[in-house]
Amino acid sequence: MSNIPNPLDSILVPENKKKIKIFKKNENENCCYYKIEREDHTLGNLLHSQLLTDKNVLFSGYKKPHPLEHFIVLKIITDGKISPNEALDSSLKDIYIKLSLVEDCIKV
Amino acid sequence: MDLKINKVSNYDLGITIDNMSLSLVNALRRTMMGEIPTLAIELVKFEINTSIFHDEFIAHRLGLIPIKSEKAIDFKFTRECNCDAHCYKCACYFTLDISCDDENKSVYSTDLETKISNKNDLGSSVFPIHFSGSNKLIEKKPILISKLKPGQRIKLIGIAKKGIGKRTCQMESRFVG
Repeated sequence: MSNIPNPLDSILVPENKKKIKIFKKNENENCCYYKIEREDHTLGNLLHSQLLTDKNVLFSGYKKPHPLEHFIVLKIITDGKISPNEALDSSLKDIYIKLSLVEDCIKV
Repeated sequence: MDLKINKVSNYDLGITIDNMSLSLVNALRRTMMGEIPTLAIELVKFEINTSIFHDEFIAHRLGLIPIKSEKAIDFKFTRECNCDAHCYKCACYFTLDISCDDENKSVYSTDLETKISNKNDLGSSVFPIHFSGSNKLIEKKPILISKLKPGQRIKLIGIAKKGIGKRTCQMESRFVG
């Protein structure tokens, strides 16, 4: 009856989709695409800038293809010493450590 | 990482941070604005409305009134609650019953009353914020909802639910710059 999209569309992951989907090109094993559902620039920009500080990562980029579709696409290319999955893993752990440092500063 | 606090009050907080990347600060800012749960009036049931404004107009204004949400964490989201539509565990009820007799009358946010079923309800400590302390012009004035002429009456129940700023801008918890 009305055109309003469900406001929970931008927050909750629907049941038929997974949170992260990995696309891989067969030519290059060090290049990987990740499609992350129900996330936006809050996480995308943070992950992308943290990946750029890693020495083994050659390329990282993220985009939100359409403002009304709530997912981001993240691309990582490494130089072969570590796989893109490991680079993503270590950058997420670094972000967690940095945020817990901020928490300690605030509590004091 | 150094944190220095520039300005503290009940409504303001100013911080200077050294040695932090811009994207991390921006992520904190976006999370503060969009993902902290607050309460806001979402449903309004009208019994009597003989004022000059139509129902949706007054409901829209009621939805934008900020509500003290320190207890918002204890409330449940409506989609997670076991009840049918809403209950005292996932929503907070406000009533408004104003009639105008002699002179022109203004309806303020101080006229909204909290309706609770017993003293242990979560809703007993929830009330609308009546004035903005940081803006000196409107510091002591409550929020104006509507105006009535003699013979007009408004009676309604407002149902406030828990939500986050990403969902609707009524539930944005704060302004961060």
